[in-house]
Amino acid sequence: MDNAELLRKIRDDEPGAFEAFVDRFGDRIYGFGVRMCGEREDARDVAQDTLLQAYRSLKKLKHPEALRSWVFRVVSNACLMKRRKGNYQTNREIPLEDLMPGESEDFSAAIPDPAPGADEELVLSETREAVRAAIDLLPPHYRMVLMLRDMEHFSTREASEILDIPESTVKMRLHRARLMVRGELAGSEAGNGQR
Amino acid sequence: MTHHDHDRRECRSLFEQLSEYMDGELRESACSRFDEHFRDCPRCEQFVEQMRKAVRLVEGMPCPKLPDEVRRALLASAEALDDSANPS
Repeated sequence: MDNAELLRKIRDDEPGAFEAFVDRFGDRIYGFGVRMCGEREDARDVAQDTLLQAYRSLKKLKHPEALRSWVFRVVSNACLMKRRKGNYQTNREIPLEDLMPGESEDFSAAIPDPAPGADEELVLSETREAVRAAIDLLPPHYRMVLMLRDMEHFSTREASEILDIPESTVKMRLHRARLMVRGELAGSEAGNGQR
Repeated sequence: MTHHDHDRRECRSLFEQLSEYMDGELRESACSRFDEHFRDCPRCEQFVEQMRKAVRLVEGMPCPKLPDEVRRALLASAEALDDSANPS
């Protein structure tokens, strides 16, 4: 079922429409919540609130192609609300100079290959743990942009609409987020003898 | 020119646009500037390769599954809402 068909079922209140909606977006929204809110309990709240809120208001959505963006707009706002209730952090932008690698850093060092063979499950698991930790270390406003662009594959324009920020800000935050993740992964390799 | 004596200002200038270059969001002339620079600067080329790997690793992260109990609770909430909206 494509998004147009799903939206039609939702608008027509067809039996099973909500279940189909949860099947389509449940995992992605929960995953987004886990990575943004950190704690599983908060992620559960975000998933529940978002899916119900989004579902109720989707009936007003005119364009099926905007369905996914719309859902992520709701989930991004829900995560930001959770953040505001917790520790307050300003959306300070990190100067690019602070993220430039040092003159002596060795870039020939290997970040693990993303496509290991079946006999390298342990390496894969350790790599994923390192990536997860690197993402968790990002300031939330950078993490959100990285997730929308590199995990959910929204375009720069879509991410700017979802977050209601200029495209130039999306690009700036994405670049800084990627630089920080690279820095962490290169650093995380330094201590385990794989360099 | 070797990577030891080329103009480091070019490295810094390109560093700023690296993600846009990787995402194919730059004009052709700007991309050519990167490609030309990499011919003289293996360090920058290695750095871009590390960045590409980092992005591929992020892209390849598995998505956590919505826990079954949350799914069940959601479906129950939606049913309750339907019932209150359309009492029989």
